[in-house]
Amino acid sequence: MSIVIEHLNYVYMSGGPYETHALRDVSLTIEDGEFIGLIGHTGSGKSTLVQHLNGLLKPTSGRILVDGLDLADKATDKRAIRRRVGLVFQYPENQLFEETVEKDIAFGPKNLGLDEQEIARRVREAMRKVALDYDRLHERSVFELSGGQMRRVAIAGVLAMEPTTLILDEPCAGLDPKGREEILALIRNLHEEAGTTIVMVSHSMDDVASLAERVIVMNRGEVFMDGAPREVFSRGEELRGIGLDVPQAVQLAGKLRERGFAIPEGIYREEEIKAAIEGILGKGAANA
Amino acid sequence: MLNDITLGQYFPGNSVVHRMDPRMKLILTILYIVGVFLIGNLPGYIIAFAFLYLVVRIAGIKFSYLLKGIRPLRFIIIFTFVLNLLFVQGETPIVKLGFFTLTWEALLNATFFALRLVFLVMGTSVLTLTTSPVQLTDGLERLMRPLQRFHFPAHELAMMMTIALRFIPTLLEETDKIQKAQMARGADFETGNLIARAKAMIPLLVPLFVSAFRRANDLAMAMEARCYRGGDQRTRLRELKYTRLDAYGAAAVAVFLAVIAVEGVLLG
Amino acid sequence: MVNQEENRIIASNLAYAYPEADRNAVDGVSMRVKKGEFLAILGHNGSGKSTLAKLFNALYVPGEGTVWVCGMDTREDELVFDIRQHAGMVFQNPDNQIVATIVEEDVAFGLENNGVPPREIRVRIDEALRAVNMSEYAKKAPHMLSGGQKQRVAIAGVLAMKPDVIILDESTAMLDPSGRAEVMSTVHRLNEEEGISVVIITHYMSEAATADYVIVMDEGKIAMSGTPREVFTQVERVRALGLDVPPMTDLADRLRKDGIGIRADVLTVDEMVEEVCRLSSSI
Repeated sequence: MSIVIEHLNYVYMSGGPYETHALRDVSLTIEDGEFIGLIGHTGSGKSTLVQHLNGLLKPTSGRILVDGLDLADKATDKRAIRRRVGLVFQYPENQLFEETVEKDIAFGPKNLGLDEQEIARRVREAMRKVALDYDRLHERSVFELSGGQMRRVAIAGVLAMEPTTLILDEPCAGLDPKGREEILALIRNLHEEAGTTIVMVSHSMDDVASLAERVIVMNRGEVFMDGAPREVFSRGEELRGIGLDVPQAVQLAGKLRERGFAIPEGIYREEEIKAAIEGILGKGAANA
Repeated sequence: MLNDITLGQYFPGNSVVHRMDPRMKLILTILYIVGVFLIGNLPGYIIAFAFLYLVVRIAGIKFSYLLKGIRPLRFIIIFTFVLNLLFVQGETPIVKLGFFTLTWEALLNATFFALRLVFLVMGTSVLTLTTSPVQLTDGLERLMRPLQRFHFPAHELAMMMTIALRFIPTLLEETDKIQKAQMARGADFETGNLIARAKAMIPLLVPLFVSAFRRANDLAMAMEARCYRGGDQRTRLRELKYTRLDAYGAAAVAVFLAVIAVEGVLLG
Repeated sequence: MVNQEENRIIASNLAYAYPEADRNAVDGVSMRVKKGEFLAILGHNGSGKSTLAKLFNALYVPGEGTVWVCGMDTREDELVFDIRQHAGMVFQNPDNQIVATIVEEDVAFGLENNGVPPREIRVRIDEALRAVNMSEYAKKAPHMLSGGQKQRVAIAGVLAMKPDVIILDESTAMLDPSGRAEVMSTVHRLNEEEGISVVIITHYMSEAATADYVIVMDEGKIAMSGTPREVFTQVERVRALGLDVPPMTDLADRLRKDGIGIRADVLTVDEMVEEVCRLSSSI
């Protein structure tokens, strides 16, 4: 049970003046139950990559296996792939179209050809997972909801497909801090409670640092780094070299080390840097 | 999908053709197309093609780019060709297939008709490829300006065209994105009969309209914030001025028309 | 009467309700934007901060109270275009505010509307594009630009009008980090070098932290105000208003809760480093 990507290349507008090599020889394996943070600046190929994982884009060369099913194989049922790999696009609320919240979330399961009872169950379950009150909201029009609620309805619409892997492209884009926190909390829950494999595309190093167990860095269509957050974020210079930042905790650790403090290597979470500073100053250091 | 649409796409450049006054280019394009429609024999089309080819070379545009513009219209062109083939009465039969007789006249007529369409598309493509949409609407606005006396909304129309042109790429991108998002939810846009396919468009069209309205709303506010108040007393960055280039252009088209006319008289 | 000379925008007891809304979106706000000031307005979604911005540009007219922009009352119809020229506005969605299909022609849009002579337009758009580092894109089509570049074009469009105040209504919300950095450094430079007052509406705390003064909106009212330091030190209060504090302020707050006597008003990584150095040397 995994997603295997072998030597994936993707070229769009080939032959024209705007020919772009969006992905170059990408090989990756995504194991069941992982939480992957996918980072890279705009145009690094990360959005192109995730659209390959459920067959929305066809590789120019290379192949992708989802649970052993070859996406390029004509015999592979596209729907079988899409019920395994759910993709939440950036600003997913822009895809909402039904009259009510319930109908919109039911769109995916309906397309899978499930019976009414099962659809109803999945809608309730998906709404529960994104912390939307079914009784209060299921009959409401999606266009009456707040921005944060619309986003959660859209995520629920993908969750109702009950995918084992969920990919989210910038799930917090454009939300205010409270909305951001709510979305991150629900993603964490999905991973921890339901055991869903998560691939989160994000620009926020702090979000990735606080959630991901593995970080993949893309640059110019290639996998630039791939490893535990501890390893990836310890290579701050290289990250800055391709226009990325490191989490503030890492920045702080680095600067404190420069000042001669003994900060352990590989620190990247706020908790850890806090412990390290307390180690230096001693808990309850006198008020200076 | 984006790169298939040549019609209405501007190809930036600084050639003689690019620098001509859009008003003149509009008039000359119309004259050229009228000229092409009057052609009644094959050599005439060869001359028309040679002229067009020359203009395209001078403009520094790849000819293949021009041909791409025809592709989306190929069905219409084939359709008119077949229609003419079937319904034009003629006297010189080529082959007989049951009730149907293919005549030499029908074949010629059908070919010319198809060629006219091809030249219509290519001619206007040359215009739009070498003239930025803003200049184009500018030119149109100014050509139509005398009509404003009769309450013809020349400025408003031009503004609408500019905005439409500006938002075409944005909305195409958005369509692509929404389509993919719905496909990720198992939507199927490709199979099924006509009714099923029409129904499948709803999840695409509703969000697209919602987004288009939101964009229109945002844009209206942004325009207001930038002091937009209609066409009165508005100035333009680019003033339109006829130059020597326009005289050359006009002369070239005039010569073309004259050649076509003479050729038409000579060959009947 | 407040001194009109020293203030670019003055709002007094401002209230505004959307048609058919049962409560005011902006409700009794009094504030001002000083000459050359960099002001940030924070607040969660629906707190009234964007409505407030639109009142500064005469896009909305106050239901109650008054807004003066460079001494002009926004309720006076004949002043509307003057006001919009003095207080320029950049919006959230980079795609929905560019009118023209060529960058320089879009920058010219406002000037054309105001009937500026073509020769002058040419000069001003060249200057404006240079000021936002977009000269080399003058002839490009907007849809080929990145989000940050589009927003800089929008800023150039405002800048060409020679405004006294630029208002950015969540103009960084849809950008990636590098786009955000481009926009922020551009407006900071305009603020410092040209003395243009800047009002940014945002929910990025890191952006607000660079402002001279911060106003936090809640339920249409001003809930907090002060320098970024004064505001963000009140971690609990800021959180209760649905906002965040900068990560280093949060860290300082948590260290303090563990009994470490670190200063509460730390905003940046460098300040945190200094604090740790200071405390460790006094042990």
